[in-house]
Amino acid sequence: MLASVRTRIARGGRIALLEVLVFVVILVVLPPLISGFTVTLLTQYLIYALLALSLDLVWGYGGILDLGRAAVFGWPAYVVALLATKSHVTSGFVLLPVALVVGAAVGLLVGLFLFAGRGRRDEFFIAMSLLAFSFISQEVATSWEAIGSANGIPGIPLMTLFGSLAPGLGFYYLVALLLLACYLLVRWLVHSQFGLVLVASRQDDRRVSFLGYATWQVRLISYVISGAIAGLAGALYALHNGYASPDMLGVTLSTQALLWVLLGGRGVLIGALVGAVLLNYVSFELNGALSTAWQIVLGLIIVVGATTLPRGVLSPFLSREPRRFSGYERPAHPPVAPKVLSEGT
Amino acid sequence: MSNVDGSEDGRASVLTRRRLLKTAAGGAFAAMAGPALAACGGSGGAASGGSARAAKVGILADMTGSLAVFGKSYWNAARMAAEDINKSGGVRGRKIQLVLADSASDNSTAVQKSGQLVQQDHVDVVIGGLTSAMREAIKSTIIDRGQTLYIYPNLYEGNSCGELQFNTGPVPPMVVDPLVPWLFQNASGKNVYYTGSDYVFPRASLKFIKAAVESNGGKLVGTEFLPLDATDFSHSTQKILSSGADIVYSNVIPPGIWTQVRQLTEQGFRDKGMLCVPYLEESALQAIPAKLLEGLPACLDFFQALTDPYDTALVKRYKSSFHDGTYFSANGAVGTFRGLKMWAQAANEADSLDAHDVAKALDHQELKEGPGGPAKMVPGSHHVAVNMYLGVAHNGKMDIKENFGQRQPGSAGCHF
Repeated sequence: MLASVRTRIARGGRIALLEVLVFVVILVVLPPLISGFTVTLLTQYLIYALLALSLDLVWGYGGILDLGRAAVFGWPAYVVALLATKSHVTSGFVLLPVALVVGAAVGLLVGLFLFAGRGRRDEFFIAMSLLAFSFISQEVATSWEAIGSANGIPGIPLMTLFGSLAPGLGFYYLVALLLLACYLLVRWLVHSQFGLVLVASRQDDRRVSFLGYATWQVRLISYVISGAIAGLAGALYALHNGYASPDMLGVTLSTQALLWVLLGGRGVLIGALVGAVLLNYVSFELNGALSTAWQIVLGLIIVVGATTLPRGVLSPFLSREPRRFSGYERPAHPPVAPKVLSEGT
Repeated sequence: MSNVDGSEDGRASVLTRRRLLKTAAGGAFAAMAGPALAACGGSGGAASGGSARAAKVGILADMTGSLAVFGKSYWNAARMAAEDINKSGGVRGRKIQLVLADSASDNSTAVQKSGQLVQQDHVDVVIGGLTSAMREAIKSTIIDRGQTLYIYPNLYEGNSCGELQFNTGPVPPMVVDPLVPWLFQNASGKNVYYTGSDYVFPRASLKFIKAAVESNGGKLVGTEFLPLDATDFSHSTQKILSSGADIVYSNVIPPGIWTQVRQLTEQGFRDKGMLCVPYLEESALQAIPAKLLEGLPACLDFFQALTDPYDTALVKRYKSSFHDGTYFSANGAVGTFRGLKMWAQAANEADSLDAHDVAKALDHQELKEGPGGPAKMVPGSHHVAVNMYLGVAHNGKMDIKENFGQRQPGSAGCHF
């Protein structure tokens, strides 16, 4: 098996060793080692990793500072929760595709509002709009009686997928494989011409437009795809833990997702995964180990981490290649910026 | 309190250093496999043990975060109850062990921690959860997915039911039914204006308030739900003043409630009208100047001013044992104490730690002596009947004006 991996690395040159390593650990090394509660915990972290992956696509590559990521995570979770509790639909073959569609739909609605039309909207405007969207979503869910108000929707039955799927190794494998599938999709996307345009338009939207690309469509499509992935993550979270609640839509989770990606390395897909798992794990262990000061220690770790390794915890191990693709590498000889002809128009 | 420490689970202290080292080592995946293996080996014996196995009780409390002042009192109350239980023979002849999990005032943390209690520590019952939202979030993990007993210890809106779920705090009819007639007797009239924060508890309470007001010959002249984080009540105050209300019944939550009390006082409403904050207990009293709260009535299942020997001793013991600025009060600490004692009695009666066996015994359990007097699990309802008291704020304390006797959960309970 190793030989085939090596050939693939040699042949493709793109599958970084680290990426293979992470997925080998997730899919091959860990399952026989873990049991009971650790499986449940890791499954949750992998679901968060899925959310981080979706955010890295739009933020790390598309340059959209999504301060409201939780909204595209939470609404699909609510839809799935309602379907499962009110309409008694528990089949994963229905619920998971529904989550993808709802996530994409929410992404499309928000994206149309923020990205449609020529020219790039002010980054600050987009970030604040998304923040507001997340905030409003949480407020709406908190006061909407039909969806349980502040109490949310408890008692979601187990998902069925060739039999009933309780939290455990089966659920773990499902999440791990979905994560791998989404990862490969996003990876293919950002390495394609589409990804190149996405990154390029983040750096200089006007120049890319002059080349004939409808950059807003590229941004919109990336936002829709990332919405679908976040929606899938939200549904998995709800089905795994058996509840959906307003804080799954809120600003706190949105901010946490940003931190995972920031610490993992913006624009490094595998970093988003590692960041999500690592930060959640450290936070959980600190909570158990230190009685009252754990949040202060966690804060210090985040601040130190973000300042000493601004490109993420993986940056010391990374080849330069993925970063070049994400466009965060500063060119050795910066090209002379062309004089903009009509600044005012 | 040294023997209480003996009853705590060793996990927290034994594993702390090792866990810290692992965290410091930083290798996420490698380190994560470690505790998993340790958990496997360590817990196997406890989970499969025979009849003499020691009972394990999981306490899920907000030890950190915005609700820590309440969460810490849960943990303190649980330690006092465990000490009592162990002194009088424990559960099935063995001392019970407490396992603390910090839900950190955060629902997703609470879900992870309750999973840890159930799947890793294999506790026989989980007691805890402060807000209603947290209770609903952790229910599935504990009850449906974990097949473990769950006791929710706080005053709440009622009707949260499950075969393995029990509630040891009061529900709205227990507060509203005796409180409204008392208000009518002591206020200048029977026109009631109801305000509440816009979430489940105040909304669920409204139904009972409306019924109680009307059946006692009063009139509900206004109803208003304010945002959870509302801080400006001037508009609401004007509406109250022009509504002709004699009584304002407010289920607005802190910190907004303090502003509401201040504005209603400053605008002169309280000169002749009566303001009532029914959930006012000792720890909430500390938040603002006593002068402002003077004369506010509340209706709860426990006040520190209770004068019977059992309650006086309990309050004294709490004060001398814990110096963390928390109070043994009706904020859930009382329900935790009550719940743990009832559970221990039920486990002894059933002579089993199996969740379903204990649930059967817990369903009709009576606590002869408890905080605030005796408590009785109403059969089939999974909710308790307890004494309710009318307290009035005076000099930063709650004076007891009336004992309403044992009140029933009624329609806010469950039906099994």
